[in-house]
Amino acid sequence: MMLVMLIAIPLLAAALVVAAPESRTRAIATLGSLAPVAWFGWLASTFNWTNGFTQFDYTVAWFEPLGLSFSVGVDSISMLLIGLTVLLGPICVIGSYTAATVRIKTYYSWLLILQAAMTGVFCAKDVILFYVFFEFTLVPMYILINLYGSTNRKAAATKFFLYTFTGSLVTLAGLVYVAYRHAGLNNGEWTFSIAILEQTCREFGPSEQGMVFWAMMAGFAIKVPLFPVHTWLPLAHTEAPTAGSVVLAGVLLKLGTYGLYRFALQFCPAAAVEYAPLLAVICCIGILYAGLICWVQTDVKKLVAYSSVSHLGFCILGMFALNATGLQGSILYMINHGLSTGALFLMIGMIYERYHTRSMKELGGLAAKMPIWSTFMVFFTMASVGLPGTNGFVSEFMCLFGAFQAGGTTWSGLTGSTLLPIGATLGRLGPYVAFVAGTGMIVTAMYLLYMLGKIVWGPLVEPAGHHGHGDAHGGADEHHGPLPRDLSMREIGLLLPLAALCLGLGLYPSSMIRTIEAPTRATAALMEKTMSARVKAVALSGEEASPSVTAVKAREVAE
Amino acid sequence: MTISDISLPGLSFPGLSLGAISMVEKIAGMWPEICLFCTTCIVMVIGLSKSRALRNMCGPLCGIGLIGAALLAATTTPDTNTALPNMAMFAKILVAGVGLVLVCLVAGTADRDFEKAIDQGTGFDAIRSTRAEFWAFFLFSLTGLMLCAGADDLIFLFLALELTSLPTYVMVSLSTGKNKSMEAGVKYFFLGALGAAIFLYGFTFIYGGTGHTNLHEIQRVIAAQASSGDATGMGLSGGINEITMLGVVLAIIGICFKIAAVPMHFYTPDVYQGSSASIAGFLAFVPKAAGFFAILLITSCVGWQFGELGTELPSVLRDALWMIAVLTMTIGNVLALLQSSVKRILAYSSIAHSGYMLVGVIAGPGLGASTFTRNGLAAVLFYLLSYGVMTLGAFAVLACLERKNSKGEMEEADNIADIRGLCKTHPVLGWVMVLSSLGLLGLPPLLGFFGKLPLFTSAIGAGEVPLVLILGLNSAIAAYYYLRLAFVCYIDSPETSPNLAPMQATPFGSRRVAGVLSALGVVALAVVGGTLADVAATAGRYVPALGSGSLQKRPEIKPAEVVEAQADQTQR
Amino acid sequence: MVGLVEQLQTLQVVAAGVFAQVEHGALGTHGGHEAALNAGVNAAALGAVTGELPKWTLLIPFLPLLGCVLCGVCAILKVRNKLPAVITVACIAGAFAATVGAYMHTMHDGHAQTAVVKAWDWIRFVWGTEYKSPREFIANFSFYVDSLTCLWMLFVTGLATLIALYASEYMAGDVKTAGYARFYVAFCLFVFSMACLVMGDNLLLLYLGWEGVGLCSYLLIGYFYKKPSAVAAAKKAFIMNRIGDLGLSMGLMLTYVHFGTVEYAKLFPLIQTYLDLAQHGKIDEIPFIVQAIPVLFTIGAFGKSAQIPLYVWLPDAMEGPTPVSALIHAATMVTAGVYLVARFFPLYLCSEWALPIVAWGGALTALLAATIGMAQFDIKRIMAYSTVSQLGFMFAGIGVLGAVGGAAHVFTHAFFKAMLFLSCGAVMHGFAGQLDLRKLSGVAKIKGWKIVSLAMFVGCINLAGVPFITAGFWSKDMIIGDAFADHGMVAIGWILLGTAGLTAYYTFRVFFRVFMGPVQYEAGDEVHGDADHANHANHANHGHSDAHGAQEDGSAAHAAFHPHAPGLAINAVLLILAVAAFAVIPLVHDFSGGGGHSFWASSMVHGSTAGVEPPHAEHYKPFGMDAHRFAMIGSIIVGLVGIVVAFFLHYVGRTSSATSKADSIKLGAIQTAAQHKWYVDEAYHAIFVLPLRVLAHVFHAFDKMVVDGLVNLFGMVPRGLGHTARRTQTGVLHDYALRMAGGLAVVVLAIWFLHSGGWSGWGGPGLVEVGSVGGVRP
Repeated sequence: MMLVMLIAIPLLAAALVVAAPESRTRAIATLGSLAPVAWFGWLASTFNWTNGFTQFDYTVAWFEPLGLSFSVGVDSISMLLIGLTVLLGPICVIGSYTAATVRIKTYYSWLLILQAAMTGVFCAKDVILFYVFFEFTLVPMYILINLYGSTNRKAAATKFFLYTFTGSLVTLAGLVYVAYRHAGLNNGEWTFSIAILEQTCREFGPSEQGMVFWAMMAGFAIKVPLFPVHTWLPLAHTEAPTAGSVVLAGVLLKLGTYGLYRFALQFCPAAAVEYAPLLAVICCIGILYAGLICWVQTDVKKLVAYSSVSHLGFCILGMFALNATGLQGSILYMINHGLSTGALFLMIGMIYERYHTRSMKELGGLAAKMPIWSTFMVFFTMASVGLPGTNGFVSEFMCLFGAFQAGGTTWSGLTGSTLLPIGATLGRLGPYVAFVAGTGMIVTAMYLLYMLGKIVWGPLVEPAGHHGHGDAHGGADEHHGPLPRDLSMREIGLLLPLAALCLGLGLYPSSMIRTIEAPTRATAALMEKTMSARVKAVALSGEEASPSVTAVKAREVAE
Repeated sequence: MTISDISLPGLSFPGLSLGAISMVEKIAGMWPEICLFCTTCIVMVIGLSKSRALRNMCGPLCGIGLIGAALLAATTTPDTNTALPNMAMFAKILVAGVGLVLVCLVAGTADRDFEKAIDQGTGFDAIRSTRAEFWAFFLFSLTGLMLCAGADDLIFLFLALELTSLPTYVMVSLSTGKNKSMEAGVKYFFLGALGAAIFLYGFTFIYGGTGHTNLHEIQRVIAAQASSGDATGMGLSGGINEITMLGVVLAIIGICFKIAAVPMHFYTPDVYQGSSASIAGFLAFVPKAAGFFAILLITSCVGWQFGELGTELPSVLRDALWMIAVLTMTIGNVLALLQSSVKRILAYSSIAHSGYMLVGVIAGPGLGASTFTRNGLAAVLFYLLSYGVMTLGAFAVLACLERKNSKGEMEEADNIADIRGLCKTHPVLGWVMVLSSLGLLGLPPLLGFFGKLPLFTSAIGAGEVPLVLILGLNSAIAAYYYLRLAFVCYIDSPETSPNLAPMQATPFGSRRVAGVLSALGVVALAVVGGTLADVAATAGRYVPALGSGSLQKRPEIKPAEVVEAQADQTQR
Repeated sequence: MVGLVEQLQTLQVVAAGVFAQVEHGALGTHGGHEAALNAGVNAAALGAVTGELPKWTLLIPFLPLLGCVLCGVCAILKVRNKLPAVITVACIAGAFAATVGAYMHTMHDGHAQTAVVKAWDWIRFVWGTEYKSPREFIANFSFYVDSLTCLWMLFVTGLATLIALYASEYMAGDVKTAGYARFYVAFCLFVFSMACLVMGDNLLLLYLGWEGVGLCSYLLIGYFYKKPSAVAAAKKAFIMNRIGDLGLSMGLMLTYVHFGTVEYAKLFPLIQTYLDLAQHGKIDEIPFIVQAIPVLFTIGAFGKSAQIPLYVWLPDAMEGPTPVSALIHAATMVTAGVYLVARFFPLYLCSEWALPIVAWGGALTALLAATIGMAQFDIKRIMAYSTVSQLGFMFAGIGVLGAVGGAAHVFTHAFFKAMLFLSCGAVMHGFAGQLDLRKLSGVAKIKGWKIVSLAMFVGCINLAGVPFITAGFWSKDMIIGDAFADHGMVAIGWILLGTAGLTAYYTFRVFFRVFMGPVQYEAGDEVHGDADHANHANHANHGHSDAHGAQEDGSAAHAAFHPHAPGLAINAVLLILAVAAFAVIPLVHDFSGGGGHSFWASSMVHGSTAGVEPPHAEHYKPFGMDAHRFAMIGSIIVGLVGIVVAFFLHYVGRTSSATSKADSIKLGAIQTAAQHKWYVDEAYHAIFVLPLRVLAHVFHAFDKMVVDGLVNLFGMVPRGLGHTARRTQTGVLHDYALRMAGGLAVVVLAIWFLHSGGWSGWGGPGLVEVGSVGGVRP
């Protein structure tokens, strides 16, 4: 019930926004987005963080003949992501005060509805409920892009909608298939409860799990987005309004990663193990490919958009390390990427409001004119680069390290010993993969510093109409209307909490890591079990009698 | 009763006591139809009365009649002895319910100019008044629809189908005073006749192959043939006599005309566009429903006890339906992409939706007492309901909008430009349009999604994974034009050009009511539709032929393993 | 929920079994570890904690951090006076005091103790899937203080204090702008990061410092952010360092994977076991992984300390303000690599390749940088290259098993190189950014420049290694000596010896040209690159534009432009450093008797993990004399020769600032090549940057055309189908009728074909059965 409130509050606010006169819209929207923060704060205080598993369960019957139920509940991972969602909510709302000027009722109401839908996704404990929320997020986003986007918005919105919609239909088919098989195995008793179905799906044979796995991939990989299916993202980002981009990068992409964790891994461990190397390759390609593309962008927003593709490559890489390190890393990565990239989009939006351009050809050396903005920009860029001491580093390190550890065969090959090194885990990625991905760190630095060098440093460049005022007092900026030359208090107020979180999570991450320890380790244990089973199977089938095989056999013997 | 002496072998005339059921029993099963028939007679009379007040009573009377029919259906309708014994009651209630919405929708279609003329002083002339016929035909058609659901004999079925269709030909022609309606009506009539000929031809083959017209008998004979056929169920038609099979296929293809499915779909867009939006809505639901009742009855005679799981149609029939379903949904959607006329878009979407529903027919009822999620027939019935609700909403919006054209006569909204920015100009209609098109798109959490979900589940349950994927792909294609439809109302700003008169609402408030009702349905049934789904589940109960050899012949395989095997195949 | 819990329980059981095996495995392969780990408890073990330190040790890193915050506040409050400088000097001086205190504690009774002071948990997570004894990754925010740490922190904080003081005057021009506070924010942050790097008790904290100093260097090189060259240099530095960092991080991960910890106090005892193997010449028994770790570290070290192939960023880094060059790019940050190698000396001893790589990398860099330095004209760049070269010496020193020599040279070099830079900075400051030694001459003779010249001289003799009286001589001599002593590395000895000569030459080349000779100078075109404060700049530009008329005739410029002599702060700092440069001599050489190791620096090194004894090898005796004596004689000779050559080429009979006898020596291509830094930058650009950029553009196009193109293509397919199908919708009645009939036929025939293998199935049973239907009739 407490969770339902979390979903209901924004919806209620949205209704109020529509009902109330336009003069009240901003106030209501702000309150409606701040209320969930308070509510979430209370939830978090009552949540039992030490046992990170599902809590606040709440179920009501809904479409029983279809085996559905409106059942919600959160484990610590969902809690963190919901926290991210409710945090970005007010930031988007308040951040749009000056950006959204026309049809603001529509704008804020859909923004709030979007928040409700995203919260719902993280709460859902029923496959179909999850899918309902997951799909419904498309509509608000579509409208935000289509109504408030820039020049090419219609095409962008449509592509965004159709691309992700198509993918997730396949996912739905996969999920329904699992439900059907469950019914087949439990004399026709239909259910869509995640907790039950995942148990069933784990019993499937590898080929069947593979089928389900790729069905899920179809939806989630597009949402993340992973390498070959990422092209909707830059388009959507460049066209979307600022708040849209913030939500898109901050939370919507995390629906994909969260889905992968919640479904692909939990439902089909065997398949996850089977295809982990393939996915690792995809991630590595994505990291470097997208990174290099960023390096030659001229549209700064597009640059950051592509950087998301590159960054989430790390996230998924960590996830498919399939050990606790990587899983914890990738979950942290979801949060941290949401914070830092969200902030970056917010700041680009601030520039866009002032100069009405995003082209790095027309902008440059803003440090001279907007010192405060530049300071934040440098900070968040560094967080995005993954500089130690910022949150970016922790998650990036853990993802890479997870991948590095997870090299069963590789390790026993390197050590020539039948037993894994003390700090390694079973798994199919290993140091070489980690190294390739690690070169991504260099590429990241390359393109982000390139961005800094263009728009923050260098001689002051402003688009025509803003006659450059290099010196400290050139004030021909009246025609920015309400906006001062540098950031206003409101804008600083938006960035400060994000900055504080980035720094806080960078300097004291162990607090957060501890909260997701239990569920991630449970998953990791499941994966380890699956892997040792697989290795044994391989051994029995007589193929590649690799050292790791013997290693696992040795373990079994002692058991 | 000397006719019985010269009665052909096995042929049972409805109403003659040679059949399985006596005349009386049959009559006892038809109270709703009788109720409607009586209403029809009254309407016919008062529709001709001089007093406008009385004339205007036609619509409300129809409504009352339908309510009565619904009540009677709920109380008196017995199980038929077909393979789908419980379908009739559900179908009749469904028809009555949707019929009520239709009453609101078609209100004012007939006689509009005539009434205007009267206002301008020309006296009332019973000859020129069409209202009586119109409402009478309306009710006749619905009566026919109800009879379809309750039919237990091929000839009965044929008559019911024709009773459903023939009035529609007239209604189309009457719908607007314009020639295009005449043309549409003529097209519809001739092609309809062709369709009817085809499925009648099919019926004769079925009779030829089984020696019966009674559906129950036919089912029994087919089961016997199947069991007597070679045990593997291979060969042309799983042991079933080819003539029968050919008949069934012909019949179904013929009925495809009613449900606007490939290859009988060509007329749809032209006729929909030619007739007024209200009648187009009528066409989108009534004949389709009749067609699906008929298809369900006929296929259930053949039965789903074939294939290695004993849950499939005989491969011939399955393949035929498979082909038709895939072509129908695909062609419908891809053609809808290109349209600029909303009516045509909705016409093609109605084609596509027939394709979706055929998936349910292919999936079949599943094994034994199977759940709603597995029973494709229940899914079809439920989808009929949800489709009816959603599409009527869309048509209602069109029926509510009109503008004066250059010649000064009223023209209904049709071009997609006409509904641009509707949410600003006519908020209610606009939102109805948004909701119903998003519903048709199958976007969760609206009704359309919960209509499609059982199709998904049952088809996957029947191992038709590729079919499901095609269905999914098609929904994705469809998303494109439904989005266009929904957001042209919501996002775009209204079109204002000097040479175009602004869109205005038609004077018939009831049409607006119809739209609002269906919009509410789209939202509300998504929340409380569970109960309806339950009803549909019982309605979709399928009774295999007793003692049909194929039932014993069915290999005892645990579904799990087999489906796993299928899964592997589908994966390859 | 239920499912989850059950799953969890079952998994616990399984995982328990599995993990029990890891334990077992650990015992199997790394029995040594466990033993050593136990040994680690008692004080004897290598690098283990042997003592305590009071909590105020935390002041060393955190006072600078406080300073950073305060300066930040100043920036926000738009403080436009020297307050930031005061804050910074105070904080860092406090840190220095704390360091001294910590040093006292560490060394209180004869032998050095090792202590760990913890601040808070930083990154620690449990990754083991087993629940009873979880595997944990621990990297706390805690500090590891032993004598090596003290050695480093003493000169880091000490020099930082002095340079902060110096900068307060040097940067005075920016006081009116936000730049002043910004400068000190980065400055303080740097000291903090450096402290984390040197004092961190685990590799991850070291990595934090490692990248932290990188960031500060980025910010400070880019201090004059309006100069594109400065921005480019900053970017280059950061990225070059990142390349190194990748190596370091990989080494870090490998360390954890093999040893199961990254905390020094736990790690070094584990290394001990392999060290024993190495010392007994059984190096080939050491696992490959262990041998790979130091190699990976070396990549990081070479990146940070600007060695081949990653040295190119350092010269460009001179774009930053001179105090920055002095502190970061001469004295402290660039020695981080040396620190890493020294800290992990025992691990390096366990690897067959690591030390040779270090030695050769260092030696070659020393030579290359020296050759480039000889050909440059920008005095700051010359100093930069000499820094690279000297760093080469240090690496070579450690590479040839002379950890003491390396560390000692770091120590001495820090002082005199800082001094050299600060002197150059003073000149630059005074002469409106003039750095070209062809446009400066006889500075020593100008009034008010005595102290600067003195300091410069002291620095030069140190760098040139003037025998006996300079610390630089002793420390460098130690390295060369060790090189000759090591059997395998004699070649390196010769290289270093030669380089020492070159060093002497280019050092005094600068001195003779800039400070001696006729008084003649020309203003630079700006005031150390900062356009932000107009007053100086204008006046400088003014003078410069006047000077244009008679470029050759310095007097013209002289008339127009008055160099302003350095003020109190600068002179004071230079004096202190000059004294210090001599004061450290006894710390780096044992005068009690030939080549003994009983001096402070050595004791500091020996008290730490760097103090382990290398495997014994018999000494090489060049020309039959003791290696160190030979080295001493050698370096005396080459040093003096170098100076003398410089004297004749650049002092004797030089009449103008622009020309010298050296110009008469034409070496053609070699000379130009050396002037162009052997075209290394160009090569890198051609080999790495350009192809990458091309690739990036290719990818971008590919993404637009192919990847997205395919998507759009799929989007087009339905439309295409639609256009095809549209043709059937003619609207003509008989067409439709025809198509319906046709469609019917098609469907029926299709099925027929599908199921009866073509026409063969035609007729047959069907017709026959019609008869039999009668039989079925009831």
